[in-house]
Amino acid sequence: MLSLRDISVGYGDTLVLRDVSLALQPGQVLGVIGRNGTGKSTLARLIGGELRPATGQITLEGRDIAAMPPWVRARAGIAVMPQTDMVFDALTVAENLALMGRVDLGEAGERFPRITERLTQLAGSMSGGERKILGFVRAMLAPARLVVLDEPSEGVQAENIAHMQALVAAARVRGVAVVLMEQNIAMVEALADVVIGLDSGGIIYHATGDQIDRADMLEAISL
Amino acid sequence: MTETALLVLLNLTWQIAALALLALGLAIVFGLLRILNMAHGEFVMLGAYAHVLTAQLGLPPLMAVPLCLALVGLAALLVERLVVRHLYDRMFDSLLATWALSILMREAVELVWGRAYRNVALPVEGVTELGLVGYPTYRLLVIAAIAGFFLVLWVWYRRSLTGVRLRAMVSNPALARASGINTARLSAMAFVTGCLCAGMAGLILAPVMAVEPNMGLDALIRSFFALVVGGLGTLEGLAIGVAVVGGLQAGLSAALSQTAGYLGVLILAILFLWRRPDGIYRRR
Repeated sequence: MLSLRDISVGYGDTLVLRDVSLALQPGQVLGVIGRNGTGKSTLARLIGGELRPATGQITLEGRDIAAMPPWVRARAGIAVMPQTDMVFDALTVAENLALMGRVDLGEAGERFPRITERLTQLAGSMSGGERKILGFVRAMLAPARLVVLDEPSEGVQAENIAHMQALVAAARVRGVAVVLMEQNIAMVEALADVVIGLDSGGIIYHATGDQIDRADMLEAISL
Repeated sequence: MTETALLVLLNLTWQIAALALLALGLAIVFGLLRILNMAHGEFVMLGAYAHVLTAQLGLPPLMAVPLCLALVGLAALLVERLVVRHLYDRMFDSLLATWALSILMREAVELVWGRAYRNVALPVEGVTELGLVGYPTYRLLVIAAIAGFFLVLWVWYRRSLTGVRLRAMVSNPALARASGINTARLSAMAFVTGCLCAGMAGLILAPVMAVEPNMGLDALIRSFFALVVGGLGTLEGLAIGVAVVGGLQAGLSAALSQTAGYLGVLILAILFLWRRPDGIYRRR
């Protein structure tokens, strides 16, 4: 579904990721771990289309999307939840959700009743954790085939992280592929089919299925 | 209520309505795109000259409306494509570029139609009796139309999906793009709409203004002062700004002189720029 081949990307002349290759299949969850500043958000912005690769190829279902602007990627089925500024502060909760084309929250509404209780509230007046949940729900409600979540659990209570995991697991069953950038190793361990660790501009850790091991991941991100 | 008081009230309402119409385009472009369009007044002027062109072409006066929309819309589209599109997020550069554009537009109009003042006939003649006083029917119609238009615009901006998309673009452009919103097209639409509002203001107010190539400067300055006082970037701020500035100018002009009216507005705007640059109504 999503394929990155020898991708180098960064800001101006400064490359943050160099020669990164990875592939993701429908229904798979790719966990991306790494300390702050190792390129997780850069990878999210690359997939979302806010950054263009300096070199290499990025394809979605075989189609080169390197030059595709973010709004076209969104319509092609890529939903992104950025790490920061993940909601529209000046819009109400209902308007934030309406932009994803959904009024009925379904399971997300049951798991996060605070969202349905606050539909008329401005998103900017919510707490940090609530804004994270709203950003997460927005991404999960999008009619997407690929969802990119950049540190969704940051600042969120354990109970709600469990609900997030349940919604990601449900999306995976529907065939939605998920790229999960996280420092929460437990969440990655619970969900990921494939895990990569980033550092020094490249992939320093790679594991699939049974190879995924919490101790190895912790060691990888503490390097 | 005495005749004088009613007349002052009507004049006050007229001043506020006319200023609201003049400033709307500037408010739209600045509020949505963060571009201070220094050529705003020249789009007002272009709209007013649609009357002159209509007369020259020997067309019925009503044809000035589609002619204005075509002329101003085309000019705005060209300006957006060739100039403004490349200057989003560069406020100072866009200010300089649109200032240069305003000079070009003034010179071009002067080249075609000369410097002479033009008179535009009132499309609706006569006076409507309102109990104690009579008031020009055209002005009453314009006041009603502007009030209705602003109400519709506010509801559309707050309730329609395109309004939500526009507010999303202003609030968080990157997330708007990631949500499937074509912000480039929306920005172009906002700029052209702002310029069309300016053009229509010129068209509607031409019969009560002196139509000449430099008429845009006064429109720009008064619009800018209204936005500074009310708060840049929102319809609510625009409404408050035009009420305060228009009210102050009309009040001082009636009580003292027209010069006192202009001076009062100038002092108020300077005080706001100095002490409260966000204006009365701050964007949430």
